[in-house]
Amino acid sequence: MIEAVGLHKSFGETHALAGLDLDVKEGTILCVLGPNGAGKTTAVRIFTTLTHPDKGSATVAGIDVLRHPAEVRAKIGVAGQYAALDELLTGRENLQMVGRLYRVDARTAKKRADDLLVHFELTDAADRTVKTYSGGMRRRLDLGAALMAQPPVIFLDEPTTGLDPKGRLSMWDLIAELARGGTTVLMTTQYLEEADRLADDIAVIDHGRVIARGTADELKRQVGGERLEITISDTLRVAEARRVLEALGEGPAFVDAEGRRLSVAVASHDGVLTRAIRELDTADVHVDDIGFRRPTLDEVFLSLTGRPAEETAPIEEITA
Amino acid sequence: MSGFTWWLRDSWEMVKRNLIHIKRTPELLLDVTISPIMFVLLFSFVFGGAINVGSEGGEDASYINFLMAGIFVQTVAFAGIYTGVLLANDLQKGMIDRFRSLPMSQSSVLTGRTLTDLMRAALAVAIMWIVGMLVGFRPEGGIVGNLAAVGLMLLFGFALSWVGVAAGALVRTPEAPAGHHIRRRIPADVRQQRVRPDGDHAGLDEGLCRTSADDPCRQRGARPDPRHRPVCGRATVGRLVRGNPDGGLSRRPVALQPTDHPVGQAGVAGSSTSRFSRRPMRSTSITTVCPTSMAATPCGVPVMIRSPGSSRVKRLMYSIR
Repeated sequence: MIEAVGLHKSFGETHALAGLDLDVKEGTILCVLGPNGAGKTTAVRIFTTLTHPDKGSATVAGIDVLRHPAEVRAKIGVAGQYAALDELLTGRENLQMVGRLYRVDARTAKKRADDLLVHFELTDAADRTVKTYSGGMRRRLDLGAALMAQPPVIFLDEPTTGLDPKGRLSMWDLIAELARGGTTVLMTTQYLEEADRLADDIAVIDHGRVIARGTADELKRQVGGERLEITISDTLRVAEARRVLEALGEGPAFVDAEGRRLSVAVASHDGVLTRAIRELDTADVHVDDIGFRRPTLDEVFLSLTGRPAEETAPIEEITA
Repeated sequence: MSGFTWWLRDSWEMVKRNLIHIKRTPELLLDVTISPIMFVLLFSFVFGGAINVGSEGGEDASYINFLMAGIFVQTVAFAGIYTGVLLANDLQKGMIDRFRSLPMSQSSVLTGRTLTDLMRAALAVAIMWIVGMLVGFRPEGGIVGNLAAVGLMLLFGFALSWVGVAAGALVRTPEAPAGHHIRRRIPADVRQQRVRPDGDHAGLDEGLCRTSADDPCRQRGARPDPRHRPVCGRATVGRLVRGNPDGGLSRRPVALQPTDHPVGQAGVAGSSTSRFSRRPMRSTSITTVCPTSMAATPCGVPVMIRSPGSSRVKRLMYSIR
C-alpha cells in the first residue's frame, strides 16, 4: 500500500535520507522508529507530497508520489507533529473546511465532522475556537481532520509527542481502531513503547536508512539472549550499579530515564544472579528487585545504534 | 466540475476562512476603517489649511479633492499589509503543509488571501468615499469616471497584495513582512506625491521650518541636530533633494530612504535599498515625506540620505518623536 525504494534527500550537507526502503501492507500499522534527526519526518513529507526526494521512488496506494501528487493527496490523510489547525476557527469549522477542501460535498462534510467530533470526544468543545484546546484535544482534532475524506492511507508524524499519558493512551486507542477498520497507517515515533504496543511491523531507522525491520518480537530476538534487570533503591548509586552489571554481562548496560532500573544482556543464567547480588552488595548498592527477562525495544535500539533512542523525553503539554 | 470551478470553490473556501479570522479578530479591520478616516480628517483639517493647491485641484481648487485621490491609493495599498504576515504565520504553524497535502487547488491558498485583501480595500474605499463626501469631497469624473477610478484603485491594491504574498513566502518569520511593506510604501508615497500637490510648497516648508539664515539645517555640510526642530530638518531634506544650491549637502539629486526602524538602517545601506537609492528622484516631490511619514508612523521615521554613485554614504537620521 505504501512503498519507497532507495529514497535519498539531502539538505545541504545533511543527508536526511540515505537510501531508505520501506513498504507497508494494506491494513497494517508500520511504526518508523528513530531518534530525532533520523529522517522520519523527511520520509513522511515525501510520501505526503510535501517534499521531493533527490533520488528514489515512492508510491502510495499504487500511485506514484512524484508523478501524480494530486491523486495521491486524495488518498491520504496526514496528521503532523505540530497539529496543523486554524486557531481562530472552531473545531467543527476546522473539520468542515478540511472536508470541503478534500472535495467532499458540503452536506457529507458536515455529517462526517459531527460524527468525528462525537467519536473523538470533542462534542463539548466543538464550537469553541481551537485556541482554547488542550494539546491532547488538538491532536485528536488534527487526526480527525486527516480522516475527513476517509482515506485508505494515513500518515502520522509523531502523533503523541508532547502529550500527557492520558492523551497518549486515547491517541493509541484511536490509531489501533483505524487499523482494525482496514486503514493502512504509517506512523513515526520516538517512543519504543508506542511501537511495541501499536505496530504490526517496525522499521528502525537511523541516519536516513532502515537499520532493522520486523515485528517487535523479531527485533527483540535479534538483540538476542535474556537480560538481567535490577531495580536499585538509591538512584545516587546508579554509576556503581552500572559498573557491576557491565562487568557481569555483555555489552552496555541500559539505564532507564529515572535511573532506577538497569539491565544488561547476559549469555547464560549460570551463577549470574548470585554473583550479581554479592557484587552489588560489595559495591554498597541496595537492590529492590532483580531478575531475568526478555529485552525491551529501548534495549533493542541501544544495541542496534549504540545509543539510546532518546536521552530525555520530557512529557509536557504542547502550547503551539 | 472543471478545474477552474474547483479553483473558484477552493478560493472561496479560503476567503471564508479569512473572513472568519476577521470576524474573530476585528482589529484586523482597523487599518481599513479607522485609519483611512483619520487620514482624511488629519490631512484635510490639519495640513489642508497650510497648502495652496493652485490650479491643480480642479475648478474649485479645493485641497480635499486633490487629497482624496492620494489617500485612496495609499489606503488601498495598505489593505494588503497583513497578507505577508498572515501567510508567513500559516507557513510557520504548518497550515500551509496541511493545505498542500490536501487535494485542493494549490494556488487558491494565495488567491484566497489576495481576494480577501480586495474586499478589505473595497471596504476602505467605501468608507473613505463617504467620509470624504462629508468633509467636502466632490469628485468630478461622473459615474463612469468614478467607477473606473475605483476599479483602478482596487486593481492597484490587488496587485500590491500579491507583493505581500511574495514577501510572506520569502521571509522566515511572520513579524518581518509588515516592515517590508512600510519600507516599500513610504518611498512610493513620497515619489507619487500622493498627499502634497506639486507647486507652491513654500507655505508648508516655511511654516514648519520658520527658515532663518542661522538655521543649522541650512548650513552647508552641517549635521543637523535631530533634537533641533526635527520637522525643519525633514523639510530641509526636501530642499537638499531638490538640489537647492543655497543649502544642500549635495547638488546632485540624492535619493531618500525612510525606514521604519533604526535596525533597518543596516538593511538600508545594503542591497535591499538599491532599488530606490540608485534612482535619482524627481526633486519636487520629496517634501511630501514630511507629512506622510509623520502620519504613517507615529513613532517617527528615520530618513537616510545617500549620494548615488558615491561609495561614501552620508547618513543623516532624523526622527520625529
